[in-house]
Amino acid sequence: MRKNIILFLLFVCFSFSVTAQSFVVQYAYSKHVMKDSTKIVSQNTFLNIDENQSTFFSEAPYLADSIMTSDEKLGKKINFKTLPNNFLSCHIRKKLSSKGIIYYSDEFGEHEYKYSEEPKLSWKIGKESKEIMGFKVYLAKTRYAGRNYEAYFAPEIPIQDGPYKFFGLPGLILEIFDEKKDHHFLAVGISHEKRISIDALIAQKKYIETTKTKFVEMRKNHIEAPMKRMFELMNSTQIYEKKDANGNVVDVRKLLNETQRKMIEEYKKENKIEL
Amino acid sequence: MNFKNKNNMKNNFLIALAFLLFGFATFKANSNYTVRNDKEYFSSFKKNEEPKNKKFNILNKKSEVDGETFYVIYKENSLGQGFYFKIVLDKNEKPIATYYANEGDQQISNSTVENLKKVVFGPDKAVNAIVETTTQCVTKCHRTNGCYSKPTSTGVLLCSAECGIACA
Repeated sequence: MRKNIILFLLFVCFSFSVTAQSFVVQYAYSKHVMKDSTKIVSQNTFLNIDENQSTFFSEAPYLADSIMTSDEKLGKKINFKTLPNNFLSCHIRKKLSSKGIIYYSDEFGEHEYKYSEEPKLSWKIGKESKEIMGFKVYLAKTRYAGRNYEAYFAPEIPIQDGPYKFFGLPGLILEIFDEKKDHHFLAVGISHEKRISIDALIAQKKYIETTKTKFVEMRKNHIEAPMKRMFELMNSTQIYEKKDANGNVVDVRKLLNETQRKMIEEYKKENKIEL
Repeated sequence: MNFKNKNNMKNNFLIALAFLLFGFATFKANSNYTVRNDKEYFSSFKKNEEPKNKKFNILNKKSEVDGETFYVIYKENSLGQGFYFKIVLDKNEKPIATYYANEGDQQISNSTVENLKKVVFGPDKAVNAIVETTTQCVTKCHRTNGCYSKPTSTGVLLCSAECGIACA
Protein backbone atom coordinates (compact mmCIF):
# COMPACT_ATOMS: atom_id res chain seq x y z
CA MET A 1 0.00 0.00 0.00
CA ARG A 2 2.75 2.38 1.07
CA LYS A 3 4.75 1.42 -2.01
CA ASN A 4 1.74 2.20 -4.22
CA ILE A 5 1.30 5.60 -2.62
CA ILE A 6 4.98 6.41 -3.21
CA LEU A 7 4.69 5.29 -6.84
CA PHE A 8 1.57 7.38 -7.31
CA LEU A 9 3.26 10.44 -5.82
CA LEU A 10 6.29 9.92 -8.05
CA PHE A 11 4.01 9.73 -11.09
CA VAL A 12 2.20 12.91 -10.05
CA CYS A 13 5.53 14.70 -9.49
CA PHE A 14 6.78 13.52 -12.88
CA SER A 15 3.56 14.64 -14.57
CA PHE A 16 3.83 18.09 -13.00
CA SER A 17 7.49 18.40 -13.92
CA VAL A 18 6.60 17.71 -17.55
CA THR A 19 3.49 19.84 -17.71
CA ALA A 20 5.18 22.76 -16.00
CA GLN A 21 7.68 22.95 -18.82
CA SER A 22 7.15 24.77 -22.08
CA PHE A 23 8.00 22.90 -25.17
CA VAL A 24 7.31 22.65 -28.85
CA VAL A 25 6.22 19.64 -30.85
CA GLN A 26 6.79 19.81 -34.57
CA TYR A 27 4.37 17.84 -36.72
CA ALA A 28 4.65 17.15 -40.42
CA TYR A 29 1.14 17.75 -41.71
CA SER A 30 0.36 16.12 -45.03
CA LYS A 31 -2.90 16.08 -46.93
CA HIS A 32 -4.31 15.22 -50.29
CA VAL A 33 -4.17 18.47 -52.17
CA MET A 34 -7.79 18.21 -53.38
CA LYS A 35 -10.74 15.98 -52.53
CA ASP A 36 -10.18 13.31 -55.21
CA SER A 37 -6.50 13.88 -55.82
CA THR A 38 -3.71 11.41 -55.14
CA LYS A 39 -1.16 14.22 -54.89
CA ILE A 40 -0.02 14.79 -51.32
CA VAL A 41 1.35 18.07 -50.04
CA SER A 42 3.08 18.60 -46.75
CA GLN A 43 4.10 21.41 -44.44
CA ASN A 44 5.45 21.94 -40.94
CA THR A 45 3.07 22.69 -38.13
CA PHE A 46 3.86 23.40 -34.49
CA LEU A 47 2.23 22.75 -31.15
CA ASN A 48 3.58 25.23 -28.61
CA ILE A 49 2.75 23.91 -25.16
CA ASP A 50 2.82 26.29 -22.18
CA GLU A 51 1.68 25.15 -18.74
CA ASN A 52 -2.05 24.74 -19.18
CA GLN A 53 -2.58 25.98 -22.71
CA SER A 54 -1.23 25.31 -26.16
CA THR A 55 -1.29 26.85 -29.60
CA PHE A 56 -1.26 24.90 -32.83
CA PHE A 57 -0.34 26.61 -36.08
CA SER A 58 1.27 26.24 -39.49
CA GLU A 59 4.64 27.72 -40.35
CA ALA A 60 3.31 28.85 -43.75
CA PRO A 61 2.30 32.41 -42.69
CA TYR A 62 5.84 32.95 -41.34
CA LEU A 63 7.47 31.62 -44.48
CA ALA A 64 5.19 33.77 -46.62
CA ASP A 65 5.99 36.85 -44.52
CA SER A 66 9.74 36.30 -44.72
CA ILE A 67 9.59 35.70 -48.49
CA MET A 68 7.56 38.91 -48.96
CA THR A 69 9.92 40.93 -46.74
CA SER A 70 12.92 39.62 -48.65
CA ASP A 71 11.28 40.38 -52.03
CA GLU A 72 10.46 43.90 -50.88
CA LYS A 73 14.03 44.49 -49.71
CA LEU A 74 15.35 43.32 -53.05
CA GLY A 75 12.79 45.44 -54.89
CA LYS A 76 11.31 42.30 -56.45
CA LYS A 77 7.64 42.04 -57.35
CA ILE A 78 5.91 39.65 -54.95
CA ASN A 79 4.67 36.51 -56.67
CA PHE A 80 1.54 35.75 -54.65
CA LYS A 81 0.97 32.51 -56.55
CA THR A 82 4.09 30.84 -55.17
CA LEU A 83 3.80 31.89 -51.51
CA PRO A 84 3.29 29.00 -49.06
CA ASN A 85 -0.34 28.41 -48.10
CA ASN A 86 -1.63 27.67 -44.64
CA PHE A 87 -3.18 24.27 -45.42
CA LEU A 88 -5.25 24.34 -42.24
CA SER A 89 -6.49 27.92 -42.76
CA CYS A 90 -6.57 28.43 -38.99
CA HIS A 91 -4.70 28.53 -35.69
CA ILE A 92 -5.98 26.60 -32.67
CA ARG A 93 -5.58 27.52 -29.02
CA LYS A 94 -6.46 24.94 -26.37
CA LYS A 95 -7.13 25.35 -22.70
CA LEU A 96 -6.63 21.84 -21.44
CA SER A 97 -8.14 22.41 -17.99
CA SER A 98 -11.48 23.47 -19.49
CA LYS A 99 -11.25 21.03 -22.43
CA GLY A 100 -12.05 23.92 -24.72
CA ILE A 101 -10.48 25.27 -27.85
CA ILE A 102 -10.55 28.59 -29.65
CA TYR A 103 -10.47 28.48 -33.44
CA TYR A 104 -8.89 31.47 -35.19
CA SER A 105 -9.59 31.56 -38.93
CA ASP A 106 -6.78 32.37 -41.33
CA GLU A 107 -8.37 32.22 -44.75
CA PHE A 108 -10.31 35.34 -45.59
CA GLY A 109 -9.26 38.71 -46.92
CA GLU A 110 -11.47 41.22 -45.18
CA HIS A 111 -12.27 39.76 -41.76
CA GLU A 112 -11.05 36.84 -39.72
CA TYR A 113 -13.20 35.03 -37.16
CA LYS A 114 -12.81 33.19 -33.88
CA TYR A 115 -15.10 30.77 -32.16
CA SER A 116 -14.99 28.61 -29.02
CA GLU A 117 -15.68 24.90 -29.08
CA GLU A 118 -15.58 21.95 -26.73
CA PRO A 119 -14.92 19.06 -29.10
CA LYS A 120 -16.55 15.84 -27.95
CA LEU A 121 -13.82 13.33 -28.58
CA SER A 122 -14.74 9.86 -27.45
CA TRP A 123 -11.56 7.79 -27.58
CA LYS A 124 -11.31 4.00 -27.78
CA ILE A 125 -7.87 2.87 -26.73
CA GLY A 126 -6.54 -0.26 -28.42
CA LYS A 127 -3.71 -2.64 -27.67
CA GLU A 128 -1.68 -2.04 -30.80
CA SER A 129 1.57 -0.20 -30.28
CA LYS A 130 4.55 0.99 -32.25
CA GLU A 131 7.33 3.48 -31.92
CA ILE A 132 7.58 7.11 -32.95
CA MET A 133 10.75 9.11 -32.30
CA GLY A 134 11.86 6.52 -29.76
CA PHE A 135 8.61 6.73 -27.75
CA LYS A 136 6.33 3.76 -27.41
CA VAL A 137 2.94 4.86 -28.68
CA TYR A 138 -0.47 3.20 -28.42
CA LEU A 139 -3.37 3.21 -30.82
CA ALA A 140 -6.61 5.04 -30.02
CA LYS A 141 -9.57 5.71 -32.27
CA THR A 142 -12.14 8.45 -32.40
CA ARG A 143 -14.55 10.17 -34.72
CA TYR A 144 -14.65 13.91 -35.25
CA ALA A 145 -16.32 16.22 -37.78
CA GLY A 146 -17.31 13.45 -40.20
CA ARG A 147 -14.05 11.52 -40.20
CA ASN A 148 -12.79 8.40 -38.38
CA TYR A 149 -9.35 8.90 -36.91
CA GLU A 150 -6.56 6.66 -35.70
CA ALA A 151 -4.18 8.27 -33.25
CA TYR A 152 -0.98 7.09 -31.58
CA PHE A 153 -0.23 8.59 -28.18
CA ALA A 154 2.82 8.37 -25.91
CA PRO A 155 2.02 7.71 -22.21
CA GLU A 156 5.69 8.57 -21.53
CA ILE A 157 4.77 12.20 -22.27
CA PRO A 158 1.84 12.75 -19.89
CA ILE A 159 0.28 15.71 -21.68
CA GLN A 160 -3.26 15.33 -22.95
CA ASP A 161 -2.69 17.35 -26.10
CA GLY A 162 -2.15 16.86 -29.80
CA PRO A 163 -2.25 18.53 -33.20
CA TYR A 164 -5.23 20.53 -34.52
CA LYS A 165 -8.24 20.17 -32.18
CA PHE A 166 -7.25 16.71 -30.91
CA PHE A 167 -6.61 16.09 -27.22
CA GLY A 168 -7.83 14.00 -24.29
CA LEU A 169 -5.63 10.90 -24.41
CA PRO A 170 -3.42 9.84 -21.48
CA GLY A 171 -0.31 11.01 -23.31
CA LEU A 172 0.74 13.34 -26.09
CA ILE A 173 -0.63 12.43 -29.52
CA LEU A 174 2.38 11.88 -31.79
CA GLU A 175 0.48 10.73 -34.86
CA ILE A 176 -3.09 11.04 -36.05
CA PHE A 177 -4.71 10.44 -39.41
CA ASP A 178 -8.15 9.80 -40.79
CA GLU A 179 -9.03 6.42 -42.28
CA LYS A 180 -8.69 7.73 -45.86
CA LYS A 181 -5.36 9.36 -44.99
CA ASP A 182 -6.75 12.61 -46.37
CA HIS A 183 -5.13 14.35 -43.41
CA HIS A 184 -2.09 13.11 -41.52
CA PHE A 185 -0.15 14.65 -38.64
CA LEU A 186 3.13 13.01 -37.60
CA ALA A 187 5.42 14.30 -34.85
CA VAL A 188 8.92 14.76 -36.21
CA GLY A 189 10.56 16.67 -33.38
CA ILE A 190 10.23 17.82 -29.79
CA SER A 191 12.18 20.77 -28.47
CA HIS A 192 12.31 23.11 -25.49
CA GLU A 193 13.31 25.94 -27.77
CA LYS A 194 10.40 27.96 -29.10
CA ARG A 195 11.49 29.00 -32.56
CA ILE A 196 8.27 30.67 -33.64
CA SER A 197 5.08 31.68 -31.90
CA ILE A 198 1.68 32.71 -33.16
CA ASP A 199 0.74 34.63 -30.00
CA ALA A 200 1.78 38.09 -31.24
CA LEU A 201 -0.03 37.56 -34.54
CA ILE A 202 -3.23 36.52 -32.77
CA ALA A 203 -2.96 39.48 -30.36
CA GLN A 204 -2.53 42.11 -33.07
CA LYS A 205 -5.25 40.84 -35.39
CA LYS A 206 -8.90 41.72 -34.88
CA TYR A 207 -11.08 38.64 -34.95
CA ILE A 208 -14.83 38.77 -35.16
CA GLU A 209 -16.20 36.58 -32.39
CA THR A 210 -18.82 34.11 -33.55
CA THR A 211 -20.10 30.60 -32.93
CA LYS A 212 -19.04 27.53 -34.85
CA THR A 213 -22.52 27.17 -36.37
CA LYS A 214 -22.52 30.78 -37.58
CA PHE A 215 -18.94 30.44 -38.83
CA VAL A 216 -19.82 27.36 -40.88
CA GLU A 217 -22.88 29.15 -42.31
CA MET A 218 -20.87 32.28 -43.11
CA ARG A 219 -18.17 30.23 -44.82
CA LYS A 220 -20.79 28.35 -46.83
CA ASN A 221 -22.14 31.65 -48.14
CA HIS A 222 -18.64 32.94 -48.82
CA ILE A 223 -17.56 29.98 -50.95
CA GLU A 224 -20.70 30.32 -53.09
CA ALA A 225 -19.78 33.89 -54.05
CA PRO A 226 -16.25 34.75 -52.84
CA MET A 227 -16.05 37.99 -54.87
CA LYS A 228 -19.55 39.18 -53.92
CA ARG A 229 -18.24 42.27 -52.13
CA MET A 230 -16.17 43.32 -55.18
CA PHE A 231 -19.17 42.97 -57.51
CA GLU A 232 -21.16 45.19 -55.15
CA LEU A 233 -18.37 47.78 -55.15
CA MET A 234 -18.10 47.64 -58.93
CA ASN A 235 -21.81 48.33 -59.29
CA SER A 236 -21.86 51.09 -56.68
CA THR A 237 -18.77 52.88 -58.07
CA GLN A 238 -19.68 52.04 -61.66
CA ILE A 239 -16.05 51.31 -62.47
CA TYR A 240 -16.05 48.64 -65.14
CA GLU A 241 -12.63 49.18 -66.67
CA LYS A 242 -9.09 49.50 -65.39
CA LYS A 243 -5.68 49.82 -67.01
CA ASP A 244 -3.08 47.15 -66.18
CA ALA A 245 0.69 47.74 -65.74
CA ASN A 246 1.20 47.68 -69.51
CA GLY A 247 -1.50 50.24 -70.15
CA ASN A 248 -3.97 47.69 -71.55
CA VAL A 249 -7.62 48.18 -70.65
CA VAL A 250 -8.96 45.36 -68.47
CA ASP A 251 -12.67 44.54 -68.24
CA VAL A 252 -13.23 44.51 -64.44
CA ARG A 253 -16.50 42.57 -64.64
CA LYS A 254 -14.85 39.89 -66.77
CA LEU A 255 -11.84 39.79 -64.43
CA LEU A 256 -14.01 39.43 -61.30
CA ASN A 257 -16.16 36.78 -62.99
CA GLU A 258 -13.11 34.75 -64.01
CA THR A 259 -11.48 35.07 -60.56
CA GLN A 260 -14.70 34.05 -58.82
CA ARG A 261 -15.25 31.11 -61.18
CA LYS A 262 -11.78 29.73 -60.40
CA MET A 263 -12.27 30.23 -56.67
CA ILE A 264 -15.64 28.45 -56.66
CA GLU A 265 -14.10 25.52 -58.57
CA GLU A 266 -11.31 25.29 -56.01
CA TYR A 267 -13.75 25.42 -53.09
CA LYS A 268 -15.79 22.59 -54.64
CA LYS A 269 -12.72 20.35 -54.77
CA GLU A 270 -11.16 21.41 -51.46
CA ASN A 271 -10.07 18.66 -49.06
CA LYS A 272 -11.44 20.10 -45.83
CA ILE A 273 -10.40 18.51 -42.57
CA GLU A 274 -13.91 18.99 -41.16
CA LEU A 275 -16.71 17.63 -43.32
CA MET B 1 74.67 -40.88 -26.37
CA ASN B 2 73.21 -38.85 -23.61
CA PHE B 3 74.16 -35.70 -25.43
CA LYS B 4 72.44 -36.99 -28.65
CA ASN B 5 69.30 -37.90 -26.72
CA LYS B 6 69.19 -34.51 -25.12
CA ASN B 7 69.45 -32.85 -28.55
CA ASN B 8 66.67 -35.05 -29.93
CA MET B 9 64.46 -34.23 -27.00
CA LYS B 10 65.14 -30.55 -27.45
CA ASN B 11 64.26 -30.75 -31.17
CA ASN B 12 61.08 -32.70 -30.45
CA PHE B 13 60.09 -30.17 -27.85
CA LEU B 14 60.68 -27.27 -30.28
CA ILE B 15 58.70 -29.02 -33.05
CA ALA B 16 55.86 -29.71 -30.63
CA LEU B 17 55.91 -26.10 -29.52
CA ALA B 18 55.87 -24.89 -33.15
CA PHE B 19 52.85 -27.15 -33.87
CA LEU B 20 51.10 -25.88 -30.77
CA LEU B 21 51.70 -22.25 -31.75
CA PHE B 22 50.54 -22.93 -35.31
CA GLY B 23 47.47 -24.74 -34.02
CA PHE B 24 46.66 -21.94 -31.63
CA ALA B 25 47.11 -19.29 -34.35
CA THR B 26 44.86 -21.26 -36.75
CA PHE B 27 42.24 -21.75 -34.02
CA LYS B 28 42.30 -18.02 -33.16
CA ALA B 29 42.02 -17.04 -36.82
CA ASN B 30 39.06 -19.38 -37.33
CA SER B 31 37.40 -18.44 -34.08
CA ASN B 32 37.79 -14.73 -34.97
CA TYR B 33 35.85 -15.38 -38.15
CA THR B 34 33.14 -17.58 -36.69
CA VAL B 35 32.35 -15.42 -33.68
CA ARG B 36 32.30 -12.07 -35.50
CA ASN B 37 29.53 -10.07 -33.93
CA ASP B 38 27.51 -8.99 -36.95
CA LYS B 39 25.35 -6.63 -34.92
CA GLU B 40 28.44 -4.78 -33.76
CA TYR B 41 30.25 -5.07 -37.08
CA PHE B 42 27.34 -3.62 -39.04
CA SER B 43 26.53 -0.92 -36.49
CA SER B 44 28.19 1.41 -38.98
CA PHE B 45 27.71 1.24 -42.75
CA LYS B 46 29.75 -1.47 -44.49
CA LYS B 47 30.20 -1.28 -48.23
CA ASN B 48 29.52 -4.41 -50.31
CA GLU B 49 29.48 -6.63 -47.22
CA GLU B 50 26.45 -8.30 -45.72
CA PRO B 51 25.80 -10.65 -42.81
CA LYS B 52 25.87 -14.31 -43.74
CA ASN B 53 22.70 -16.42 -43.72
CA LYS B 54 20.36 -13.43 -43.66
CA LYS B 55 17.42 -13.30 -45.99
CA PHE B 56 16.81 -9.73 -47.17
CA ASN B 57 13.29 -8.67 -48.12
CA ILE B 58 12.28 -5.71 -50.27
CA LEU B 59 11.21 -2.63 -48.35
CA ASN B 60 11.28 -0.21 -51.25
CA LYS B 61 12.37 -0.47 -54.88
CA LYS B 62 12.51 2.49 -57.25
CA SER B 63 14.15 0.91 -60.26
CA GLU B 64 14.63 -2.47 -61.91
CA VAL B 65 18.19 -1.53 -62.85
CA ASP B 66 20.86 -3.77 -61.30
CA GLY B 67 22.67 -2.08 -58.44
CA GLU B 68 26.37 -1.33 -58.64
CA THR B 69 27.14 -1.23 -54.93
CA PHE B 70 25.37 -1.68 -51.65
CA TYR B 71 25.71 -0.67 -48.04
CA VAL B 72 24.51 -2.58 -44.98
CA ILE B 73 23.78 -1.22 -41.52
CA TYR B 74 22.27 -2.73 -38.36
CA LYS B 75 19.79 -0.75 -36.26
CA GLU B 76 17.70 -1.55 -33.21
CA ASN B 77 14.52 0.10 -32.05
CA SER B 78 13.75 0.79 -28.40
CA LEU B 79 11.90 -2.52 -28.12
CA GLY B 80 15.20 -4.24 -28.82
CA GLN B 81 14.13 -5.48 -32.25
CA GLY B 82 17.11 -5.45 -34.55
CA PHE B 83 17.08 -5.01 -38.32
CA TYR B 84 19.71 -5.05 -41.03
CA PHE B 85 19.09 -2.53 -43.80
CA LYS B 86 20.67 -2.98 -47.18
CA ILE B 87 20.68 0.05 -49.47
CA VAL B 88 21.48 -0.65 -53.11
CA LEU B 89 22.92 2.16 -55.21
CA ASP B 90 23.07 2.61 -58.97
CA LYS B 91 26.17 3.65 -60.90
CA ASN B 92 25.46 7.30 -60.05
CA GLU B 93 25.48 6.43 -56.33
CA LYS B 94 21.74 7.05 -56.06
CA PRO B 95 19.72 4.66 -53.86
CA ILE B 96 17.47 2.46 -55.99
CA ALA B 97 16.31 -0.14 -53.48
CA THR B 98 16.18 -0.80 -49.77
CA TYR B 99 15.99 -4.26 -48.23
CA TYR B 100 15.61 -5.39 -44.64
CA ALA B 101 16.36 -8.52 -42.67
CA ASN B 102 15.54 -9.04 -39.03
CA GLU B 103 17.96 -10.32 -36.47
CA GLY B 104 16.25 -13.61 -35.74
CA ASP B 105 15.00 -14.32 -39.28
CA GLN B 106 11.49 -14.59 -37.87
CA GLN B 107 8.36 -13.60 -39.73
CA ILE B 108 7.79 -9.83 -39.48
CA SER B 109 4.24 -8.53 -39.30
CA ASN B 110 2.89 -6.22 -41.99
CA SER B 111 2.48 -3.42 -39.45
CA THR B 112 6.18 -3.69 -38.50
CA VAL B 113 7.12 -3.48 -42.19
CA GLU B 114 4.88 -0.41 -42.56
CA ASN B 115 6.55 1.13 -39.51
CA LEU B 116 9.98 0.44 -40.98
CA LYS B 117 8.92 2.15 -44.19
CA LYS B 118 7.77 5.17 -42.22
CA VAL B 119 11.02 5.28 -40.25
CA VAL B 120 13.14 4.98 -43.38
CA PHE B 121 11.11 6.97 -45.89
CA GLY B 122 8.75 9.18 -43.84
CA PRO B 123 4.99 8.92 -43.58
CA ASP B 124 4.06 9.49 -47.20
CA LYS B 125 5.55 10.89 -50.29
CA ALA B 126 4.65 14.55 -50.00
CA VAL B 127 5.58 16.44 -53.10
CA ASN B 128 5.90 20.05 -52.08
CA ALA B 129 4.50 22.67 -49.75
CA ILE B 130 3.27 25.16 -52.33
CA VAL B 131 -0.08 24.82 -53.99
CA GLU B 132 -0.95 27.43 -56.53
CA THR B 133 -4.59 28.26 -55.97
CA THR B 134 -6.37 31.40 -57.08
CA THR B 135 -8.16 31.55 -53.72
CA GLN B 136 -5.00 31.65 -51.63
CA CYS B 137 -3.26 33.94 -54.11
CA VAL B 138 -6.11 36.48 -54.07
CA THR B 139 -6.43 36.34 -50.28
CA LYS B 140 -2.69 36.89 -49.73
CA CYS B 141 -2.62 39.67 -52.29
CA HIS B 142 -5.63 41.42 -50.68
CA ARG B 143 -3.99 41.19 -47.25
CA THR B 144 -0.51 42.26 -48.29
CA ASN B 145 -1.72 45.21 -50.34
CA GLY B 146 -4.22 46.15 -47.62
CA CYS B 147 -7.03 46.23 -50.19
CA TYR B 148 -9.81 46.30 -47.59
CA SER B 149 -8.13 49.14 -45.70
CA LYS B 150 -8.21 51.54 -48.66
CA PRO B 151 -10.11 54.70 -47.69
CA THR B 152 -12.52 54.65 -50.62
CA SER B 153 -14.68 52.03 -52.32
CA THR B 154 -12.92 52.82 -55.59
CA GLY B 155 -9.56 52.15 -53.90
CA VAL B 156 -10.78 48.80 -52.57
CA LEU B 157 -12.12 47.72 -55.95
CA LEU B 158 -9.07 48.79 -57.95
CA CYS B 159 -6.75 47.14 -55.44
CA SER B 160 -8.75 43.92 -55.69
CA ALA B 161 -8.74 44.13 -59.48
CA GLU B 162 -4.92 44.39 -59.34
CA CYS B 163 -4.90 41.19 -57.30
CA GLY B 164 -7.20 39.55 -59.84
CA ILE B 165 -4.67 40.42 -62.55
CA ALA B 166 -1.71 39.23 -60.43
CA CYS B 167 -3.42 35.89 -59.71
CA ALA B 168 -4.90 35.28 -63.19
